[in-house]
Amino acid sequence: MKKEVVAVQIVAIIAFSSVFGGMLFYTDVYDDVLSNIVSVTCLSCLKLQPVTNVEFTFDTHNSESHPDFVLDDLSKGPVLIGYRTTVCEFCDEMDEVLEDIFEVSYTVDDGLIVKSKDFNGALVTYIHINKDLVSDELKDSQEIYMEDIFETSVPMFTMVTIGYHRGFVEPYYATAYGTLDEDNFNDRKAAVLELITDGINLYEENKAGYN
Amino acid sequence: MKFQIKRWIAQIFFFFSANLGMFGLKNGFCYPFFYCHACPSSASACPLRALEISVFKIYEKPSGFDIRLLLYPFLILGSVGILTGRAVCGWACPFGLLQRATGGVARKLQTAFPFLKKFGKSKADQYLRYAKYFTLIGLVFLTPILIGFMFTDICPNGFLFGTIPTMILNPGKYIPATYFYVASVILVLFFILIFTIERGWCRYFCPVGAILAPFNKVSFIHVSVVNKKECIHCNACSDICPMGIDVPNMNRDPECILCGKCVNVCPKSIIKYKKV
Repeated sequence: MKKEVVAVQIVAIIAFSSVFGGMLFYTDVYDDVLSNIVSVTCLSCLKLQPVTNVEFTFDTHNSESHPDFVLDDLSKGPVLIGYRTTVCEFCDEMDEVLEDIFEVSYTVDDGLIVKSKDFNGALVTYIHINKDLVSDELKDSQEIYMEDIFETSVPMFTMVTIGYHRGFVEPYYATAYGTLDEDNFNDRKAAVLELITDGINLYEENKAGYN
Repeated sequence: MKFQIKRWIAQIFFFFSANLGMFGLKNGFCYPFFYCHACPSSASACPLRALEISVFKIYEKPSGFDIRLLLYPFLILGSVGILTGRAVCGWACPFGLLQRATGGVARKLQTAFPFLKKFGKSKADQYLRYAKYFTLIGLVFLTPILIGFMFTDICPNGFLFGTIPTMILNPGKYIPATYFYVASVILVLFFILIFTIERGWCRYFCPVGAILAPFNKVSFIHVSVVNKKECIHCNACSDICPMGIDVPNMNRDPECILCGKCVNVCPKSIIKYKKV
């Protein structure tokens, strides 16, 4: 009996250690565990969710995946998308705010403007889309992020960042419409900055696990 | 008793080692014991979380099974298990350390309320010990696959070492999520359990203990009664055993955490640590 146990022990320790060593050497499981589990705040393990100024969600409105032009920039930092049409009074008012925040200048004739800005070390990309002047891919992307109640109304702003969802870091977004319920330039600017701050905080918290 | 002081030192050492993340020392290994990577100072990953994620992908997408994340924690726990059996439960696990600290109270309560002691010797206790295998198979493997619910959603370890410190360190940053209140009730029940039954969590519910327990049968190190003929049946070993094992009759018992209390207390010195 004793000899049998010793045989099992030796076979088991050789098998376990060699497979384990092989996994460490030949696969990226160590890096995966480090970046996706250890370095990311596991919100479901904490039974908590972050406090944000607007409600973020993982589920896209039409269940389509996030468009490539967003995912490309999302690998560098949060992405703020602003949708408008050519004739839109509130869009004009909100564009003043966005131009000021992102230190960019554009007119109603510009279909697509992409501008990145460093916010204290965090890179945020602003994508301005005039739906009347861009390709269908860009125009239809609004349906991915829209809310039922306002649908494709403009102006619409979507902050796409990343969040922890059931063991994985995935794109996480929030959408806001109109003048963000604010009456003047300064309050609107503060509201947009809050949205950007939420996006940056979530991104910083989860970027280790985002591939 | 010096031996038990060494065990205190080992447990405290491993507790600090598990929290080296506070100095930025994080790594991609899984703990070989029950500890939560959501703790702000944790250094490694919870093995249960890795197991859950490996199968949870099936719930999201049938082809999503990740065998690497299934094997990885098993190989770590298996390697440790082959060498030492459940010694990590008794010598390294922070949850074990906590339960060791509450063990004295549990013993006093068992003296004050004899039915608690009776429960520890009853058949119900023996059957309840299988609950940890149901926890492992049911909540760590099956529910993530079938309904997307994971054990770590309600884990008392996560709440104690993750949620509470995180809320203290980040006031106002987080709000309760779906399972917060369920998990807080489970944490209260956990404390009632460990204050009434010594090592109650290890005995009945620990999924990591369930993975390690079978390795006691083949581990290099184990505790044995070396000469049963010399046993005077004083039962001092069984009385002091925190896992409630019938020590004189044990043979590589899956419940043994190799704490060595029986080794220390045996008046005939016939219980010993054995290699191979």
